[in-house]
Amino acid sequence: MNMKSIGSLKINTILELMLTVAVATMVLTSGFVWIITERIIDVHEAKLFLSGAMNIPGNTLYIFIFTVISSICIIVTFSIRSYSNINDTGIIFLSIMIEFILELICITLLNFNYNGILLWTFANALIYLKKNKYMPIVIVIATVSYLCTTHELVKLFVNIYDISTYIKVCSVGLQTVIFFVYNVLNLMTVICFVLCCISIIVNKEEIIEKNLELNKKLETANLDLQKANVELEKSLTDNARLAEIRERNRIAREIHDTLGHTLTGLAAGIDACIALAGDERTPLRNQLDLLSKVSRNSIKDIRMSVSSLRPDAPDRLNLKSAIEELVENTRRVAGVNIIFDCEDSNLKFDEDEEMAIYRIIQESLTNAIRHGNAGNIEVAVKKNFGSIGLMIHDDGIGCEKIEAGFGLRHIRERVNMLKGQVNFRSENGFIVEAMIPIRWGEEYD
Amino acid sequence: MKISKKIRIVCILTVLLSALSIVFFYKCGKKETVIEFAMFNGSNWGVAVQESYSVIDKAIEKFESEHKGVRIKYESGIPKEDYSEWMSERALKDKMPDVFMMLDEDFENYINLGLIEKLDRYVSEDSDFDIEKYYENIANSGVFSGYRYALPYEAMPTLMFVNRTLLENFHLNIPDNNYTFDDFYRLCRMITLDRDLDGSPDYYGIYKYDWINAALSNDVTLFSKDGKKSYFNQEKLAEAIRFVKSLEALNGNQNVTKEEFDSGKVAFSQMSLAEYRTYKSYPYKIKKYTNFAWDCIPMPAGKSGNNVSMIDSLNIVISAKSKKKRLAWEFLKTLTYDAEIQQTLYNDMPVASVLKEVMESKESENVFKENEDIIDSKLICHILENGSEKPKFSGYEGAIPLADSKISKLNKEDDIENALRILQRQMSKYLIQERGKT
Repeated sequence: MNMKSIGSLKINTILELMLTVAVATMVLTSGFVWIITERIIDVHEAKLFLSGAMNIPGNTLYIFIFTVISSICIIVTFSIRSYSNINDTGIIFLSIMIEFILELICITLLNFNYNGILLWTFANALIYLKKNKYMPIVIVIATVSYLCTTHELVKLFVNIYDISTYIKVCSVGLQTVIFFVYNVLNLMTVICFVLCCISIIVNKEEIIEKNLELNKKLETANLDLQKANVELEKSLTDNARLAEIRERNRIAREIHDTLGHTLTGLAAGIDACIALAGDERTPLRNQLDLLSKVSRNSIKDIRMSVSSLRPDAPDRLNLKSAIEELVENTRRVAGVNIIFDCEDSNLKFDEDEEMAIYRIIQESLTNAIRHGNAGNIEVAVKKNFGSIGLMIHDDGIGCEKIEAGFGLRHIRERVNMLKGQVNFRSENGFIVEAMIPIRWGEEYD
Repeated sequence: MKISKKIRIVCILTVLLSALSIVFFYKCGKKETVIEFAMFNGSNWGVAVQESYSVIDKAIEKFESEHKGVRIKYESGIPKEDYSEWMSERALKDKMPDVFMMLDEDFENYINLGLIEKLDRYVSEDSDFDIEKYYENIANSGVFSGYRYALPYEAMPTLMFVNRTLLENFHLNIPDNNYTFDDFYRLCRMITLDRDLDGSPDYYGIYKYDWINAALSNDVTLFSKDGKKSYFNQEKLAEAIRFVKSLEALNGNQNVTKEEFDSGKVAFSQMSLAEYRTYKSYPYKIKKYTNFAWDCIPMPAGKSGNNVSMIDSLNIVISAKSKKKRLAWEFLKTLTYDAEIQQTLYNDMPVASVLKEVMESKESENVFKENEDIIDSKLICHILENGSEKPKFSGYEGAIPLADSKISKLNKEDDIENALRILQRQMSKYLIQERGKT
């Protein structure tokens, strides 16, 4: 901010200098023409002067007065623009337009002997209409109007007087001085304009540099923010998973503590009843035996449920041995032939991944036995580069139309959560294929 | 906020409107419109005139009675020598009179400076106005590079003075109005015979007869209208010059002085209508040329030409910066186109009118009746109709002395054709230089 204000202060100083030069030249030129005209009339050389003149300007006193008034107007509009911090583009545009019109009138009245004042207005337009989309139009107008008011060009088409004819009326010594002053003032205007343009460019470059710097900062901030966002998301899912695990543990504990305890009690009670009933194979004794069997099976089921509910179940073991145990249990319980194929002995993944793999296999096995009446099941776990592939293939009846029940949906949800892919199809039985990406960096030995 | 803004705008508009209406009513309330006219004192033709403003005053009176509420103002007493400077100063001050007399020397320069209003629009739009009523050549003197800038006010033909007493003494007849170069040469030869045998003529044939008039009488045009071209290299001009030189040779190559002319020793001389009419009328009638009878006749005609001469004219223009151009045009018309005013001008001033109807009117017949003159309005009509107008381009006044200085050095026996070829080259160069100045 500080830099910018210094920059605009510089431009303002140049503008003030330029205005002084331009207005002074305009007033001096018109005043000079007026004074010389009066002198010519005083010494009665009007006829001689007219015989060498190309044009006469009209009432030179009126022109001088008009020039002075216009100059004052231009100074006033400039002061309003620069010192009152008006940000309304409309007002700035209007003030510049008024100046432009006044200048054109003055230039015409001065027979195009000085058009440097236009440069001053263009400098203003360049500074104040920086962001305006009409900039090309302004530039075109500026160029055309400057060209069309250049004395040497206008001279070709219209009869206009040359200030030099007036200067030549003066004595030779004075002529040199006046020519010098006139040319210096003309050049000064151009120099001021160039200075103005340079400072505008410098100022703009400063702004661009600052913008670039800010952009860079913004970019780094944005990256940081993205990182933070990713971390936040991860911690959120971690939290959710933790909560889920905690909840599962609680439920498992509850089942184990209450239902397990009750069933164990019940089984013990039935055993006591069997003992009381004696060895005789009475219908009661048979019934009790059956009950005892059911209750023990239930206890086993509950244990299985609890152990499967507890997600840390495979955690305590190695994933591979956990699967092997699952396979062995299922084979024993359901009496099916299960082949477990895993080349990699060291299956070690993130907790949720391991859990997902375990659950998918468990669910697939249950489905194959329950719905497929399968006799042989093949379970393959294959570790690829960056992902793990699962395939559970049974020789059951399969199904023509796959209706996603709770089990399949559950599998799909788990896989989707890990951004993996799962595919079910019926081909010589039922096939479940899943591909789960492995998060790098968290794989450890 | 919005309402107060509206009220403010309405207030500003009301103030502006009332200010405008005050100015408007003030302007309308001003009953008198003033047209400024400028002219110089005395005659444009180098003769003394008694009341130079009498015709103008009459014209003003007539105009003011026809246009109520319009007043014509003019500054009197500006001598002709100061008039150009006076007008230039007015131009520099941007206070040009609305209507003014235009001197030839400033005409082209003022046109180039854009000080003079073009009249073509007025001429074509004014149904009461017919440019044909002017003598064509005279009216054309106000035309420059295709535009009409001026209307003529006075016309001034050049005539040939003839010393009747001298001719009578030698028993010679005054030549007819259609006499030729040869007739004229014969008369001059008779007059310049060396009767006392002292080796030089006792009387002279011609005083002040320039080659330009001889050229005009031999159908020579020296310059194009815009002054960009000159036509010196032509046989007809050589003929005219040879004729003038042979006349001069008759005088024994002596320079005839004004004293000899005034004392009646010269038979012929070039004379403007202004001089003729001035010296033929009171009071100059009794002051000048009193010891012999004299008259004026047309110029002698060359082989290819006519009995015509150069016709100068005084033109009047309208300022381009005038704010009442319509009224200025009306006043210009009163001065130059009004038969009554032009008739008065012809009657009272030693000039010719620019209107055909005035020159041909009954009243005009009386202008020369009083003195048994040879010349009459009809003859002047003829000269005005056939004469050539004096060129009005700015280089003319410089071109003539240049040509004069070369031609005056020539003798009758010299190779005039060759001299003219050289002169033509010099003249072209001079004219190009003149163009370059503006």
